[in-house]
Amino acid sequence: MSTAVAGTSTRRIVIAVTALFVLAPILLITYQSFLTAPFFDPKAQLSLWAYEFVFREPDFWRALGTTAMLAVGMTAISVPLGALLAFLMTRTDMPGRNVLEPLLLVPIFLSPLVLAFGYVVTIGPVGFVTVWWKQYLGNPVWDIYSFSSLVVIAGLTHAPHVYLYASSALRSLPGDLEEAARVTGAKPGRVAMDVSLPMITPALLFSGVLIFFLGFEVFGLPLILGDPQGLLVLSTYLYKLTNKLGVPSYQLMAVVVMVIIAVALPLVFVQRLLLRTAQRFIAVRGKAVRTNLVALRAWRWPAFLLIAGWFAGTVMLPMMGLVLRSFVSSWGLGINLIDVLTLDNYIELFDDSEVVSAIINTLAIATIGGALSIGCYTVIALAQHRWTSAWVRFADYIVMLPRAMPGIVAGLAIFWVFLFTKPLAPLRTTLFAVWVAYTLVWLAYGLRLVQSALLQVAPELEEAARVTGAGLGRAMRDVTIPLIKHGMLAAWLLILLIFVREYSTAVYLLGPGTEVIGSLVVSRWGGGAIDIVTCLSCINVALISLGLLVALRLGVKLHG
Amino acid sequence: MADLAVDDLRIRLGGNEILKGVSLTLRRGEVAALLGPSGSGKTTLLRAVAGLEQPYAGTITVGGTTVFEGAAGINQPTEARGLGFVFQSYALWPHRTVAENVAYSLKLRGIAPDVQRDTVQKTLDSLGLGKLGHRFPHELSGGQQQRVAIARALVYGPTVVLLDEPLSNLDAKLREEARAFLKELIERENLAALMVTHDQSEALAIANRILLLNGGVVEQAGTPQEMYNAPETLFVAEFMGSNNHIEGQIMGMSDGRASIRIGDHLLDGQARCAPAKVGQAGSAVIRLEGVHVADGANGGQNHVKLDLVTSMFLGHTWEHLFRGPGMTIRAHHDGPLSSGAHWLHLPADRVWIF
Repeated sequence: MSTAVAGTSTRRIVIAVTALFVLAPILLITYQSFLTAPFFDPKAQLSLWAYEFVFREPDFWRALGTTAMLAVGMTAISVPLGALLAFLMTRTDMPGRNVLEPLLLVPIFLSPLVLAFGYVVTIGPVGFVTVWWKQYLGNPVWDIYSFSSLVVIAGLTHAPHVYLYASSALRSLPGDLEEAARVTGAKPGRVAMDVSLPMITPALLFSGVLIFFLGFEVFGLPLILGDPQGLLVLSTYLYKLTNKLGVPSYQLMAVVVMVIIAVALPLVFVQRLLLRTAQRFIAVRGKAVRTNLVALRAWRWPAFLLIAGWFAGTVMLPMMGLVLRSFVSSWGLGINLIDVLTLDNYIELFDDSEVVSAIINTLAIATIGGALSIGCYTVIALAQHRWTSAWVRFADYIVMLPRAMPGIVAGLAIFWVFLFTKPLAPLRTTLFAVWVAYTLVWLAYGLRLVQSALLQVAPELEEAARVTGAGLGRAMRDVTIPLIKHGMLAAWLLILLIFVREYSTAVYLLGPGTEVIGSLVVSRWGGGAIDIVTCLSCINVALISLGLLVALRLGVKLHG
Repeated sequence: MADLAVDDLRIRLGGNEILKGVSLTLRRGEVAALLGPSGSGKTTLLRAVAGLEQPYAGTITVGGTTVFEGAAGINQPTEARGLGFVFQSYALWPHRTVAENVAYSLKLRGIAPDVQRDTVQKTLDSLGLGKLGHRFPHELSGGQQQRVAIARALVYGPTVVLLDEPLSNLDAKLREEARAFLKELIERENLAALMVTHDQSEALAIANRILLLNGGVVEQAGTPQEMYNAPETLFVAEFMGSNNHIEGQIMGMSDGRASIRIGDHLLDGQARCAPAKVGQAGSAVIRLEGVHVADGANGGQNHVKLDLVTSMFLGHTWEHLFRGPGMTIRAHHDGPLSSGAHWLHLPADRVWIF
C-alpha cells in the first residue's frame, strides 16, 4: 500500500512542478500587462493603461495586419506545394525519389534566420546573384525586402511541414481504395482528385492550421527581410518595442505578448483537435500496402525538376551564398570575386571571445542541455505513464500552453521570471537561464517524442515486473526506461538539432556568459557585422548537418 | 484452508460494472479455469487478483493474508502479493536474456547472486530450458517462450499462479502438448492455479474446477464432468460442447423430466426449467454426439425422421446435417450415410429442456 501511495504522490509532485514551470511565466506576463510600469518599479500600479496605449498604436495594428496577411499568404503557398511534393514523392514514379526524400525535410532543421541571411547575400540588393544579374542583364526584377518576397520565401521554406503530414497520410492510405476507383473506371488523375485528396484532407487541414500558426510565430525571416523597409510583424514589433520609450517598456511588451498568446492558444487547441481527427483517418488500416504508382510518363522529369528547383531555390541557393560570402573579405558591384577570396573571416572569428564562447555554449546547451531536457521530459512523461487520473488530463493541457509562446516570447518570459524571483536572479546571467527557456519552448515537442517511445512499451511487460515483486518506481527503472532507451536517444538527437538551430528564444537572455550562436547572430546582424554573421551561420549549418547525418545514420525518424 | 479466496468481488471500469460479485476458492494442487465469452469479466477477475485492476468491493485472500478488502480499505500493491503470473503474450522482457528474465524476481528479493544462478538453472532445467539461459526471448520458439514465462512466474516459489490464456499463442499441435505439460507441472509443484481461457475444451482437459462467467457473474461452477454433463442453465449447456438447439413448446413436467413439442414430435428430456414454464416456449438442447442415427427403428419415443442435407468428414468421425419441419439437427456418426430420410434417436437422458 505504501509504495502505491508513494508512487502516486511522486507523480503528483512532478505534474505540479511542471505546471508551476509552465504557468509562472504566463502568470507573470499577465500580471505585467496590467501594470503601469515594469514589475520591479515600485511606482507600478494595476491598470489597463498598457492595453489602451498599445491598442492606440497604429504600428501595432499594422504589425497585426501584416502578420495575418503573412500567415495567410504562406499557408496559401505551403499547403498546395507541400501536398504536391507529397503526392509526387509517395504516389508517382517520379525519378530520384530516394535521393530527394531526406533532402525535403532539411529546411525544417535549418534556422529560418540563417536562410534569411542566405537570401540577403545572394539575392539582396548587393547579393551575388543580384550583382551578376546587374552586370549582364540589367536591373533585377525582384526586391527581396518587399512583403511579397517575404511571403514567398516563408511559403517555400515552410512547405516541408505540409509535406511531412501529407506524405505520411498518403503512405498509410490503403491502396485498395484507389485500386477500387481504378477498377470502377477512373483515370489516375481522377483517382487522385476523387479518392486520395479527400482521404488526406484532415492531414492537409491540420498542416494548414499549423502553417498559419507558424506564420504568427516567425521571427527570423521578417526581422531580416522585413526590417529594412520598416515591415513589422508582431514578433519583430515586440522586439523593436524593447526600446520604444527609451526605458524598458515591459508593460507594453507584455500586452503584445498577451495578444500573441491569445491568437496562438486557440490555434494550438484546434491543431490538437485536428491532429486527432487526422490520425483517426490515418489509423484506419495500419498495414502499408504496396500500391501501383501513378505513371507520370512525359511529366516524370518536369516533376523531378520542379522538386529539384524548389530545393535549389529554397536551400541550395541561400546556403551556397552564405558559404561564399563567408570566404570573401568584401563584396559589392564591380568587385572581382577572385580578388576578395580569403580565409581571414574565419581566422578573425576565433579572436572574438564572444563568438568563441557562443560556439562553445551552443555545443554545451545542445549536447548536455539537450540530454538534461530529455531527462526532464522523460520524468514528466513517466509521471503520466499508465495513470488514469484527472492529474494526467490536467498535465496534458498544461504542456500545450508553451506551444502558444513563440521562442522570443518564452525567452522574454523566462528572462522576467529570473528577474522577478529573487533567489533565481544570480542564475539569470548564466547558461542555465537559456536552458530553462529552451526546455520550456520545446516541452510539448520533446514530451511527444518521449511519449511516442513509451507507447511502444506493451503494458504487460511492466505488469510482469510488478507481479514478480517490483514496485512502481523499480518497474519503471528496470523495464520501462531500458525499453525506451533508443527512443530517448533519438529524441535527444532531434532536440540537439533544434537547440543548435534555436535563435529567437535566447535573444532576450543574451549577455556575457549566455551567448549562443543564434542570439549572437541576431545581435551582430543588427550591428552590421556581415562577415561574422555569415561565418557563424555557416558553422551553425555545419553543426546541424553533422547532427542530421548522425541522426540519419542511426536511423532516427526525423518526424516525431 | 484455501490458498486463494475471492469473495463477492466487484469491479467497475469507466462506469461499466465488469464484475458483479464473484467468489471462488482454490487449494494447492488444484487448477480452476475461468471460462466465459469475451467481455464476461474473466481476465478482469484474474488481473484483480494480481492487483492489476482495482475492485471497489469484496475481498481477496492469498495464503491466508487479506490482500484486498474493499470495506476495510486494504489494498496491497501488486508487487506485495507474491503471486506468479503468466501473461497471454508472455511479456518476456526483450532487453534481458532468458536467465535474467527468470532471475529478476530473485534479484528483487535480495537473493545472493550465486544462489540466484543455481535457482534459475534448476528452474530452467525442470522446464526443459536448461541450455537456453543466455539467449534472448526473440531467439526462442513460441513454446520455449511460454516455458520461460512459466519459469519466471514460478522461480520464487509462489503458491498461487495466475495464467492468462497461457495456451492461446501456441499453434494447435503445440497447444495439446503444452496442455499436458502444464497440468503435470501444476500437480508436481503442488500449485494453486487460476487460469483464464475462452476455449472450453482446454478448460475441460486441464481444470479440476471450472467457473463459467457470464456478464460479470458466475453462471455455474463445478467439475468439468458436472459442467459438461449437467449444465444448469441454457447458457452453460450451449457454451460447453457442440449442441443442437431446437425451439418448441413445453408440454409437461414431472419428476425432473419434461416434454417439449416440436411440430408433430413430442420429445422427452431432463427438465432444466421452472414448472411455471409449462405451456410456454422452451428449448431442447442435445449434444451432437448424443444423437444416434437409428436406421431400422421406426418411430419410437424420441425418434424423429429427417432428411439428410449434407455430410462432412471430420477425420475421426462424420458429421451429418439433417433437416425436417421445425428442426435442424447435426449428428456424429461413424460412417457415411445414403441420401434421403433417416431415423434419429434423441435419448431422453441426453436431452435437456430449458
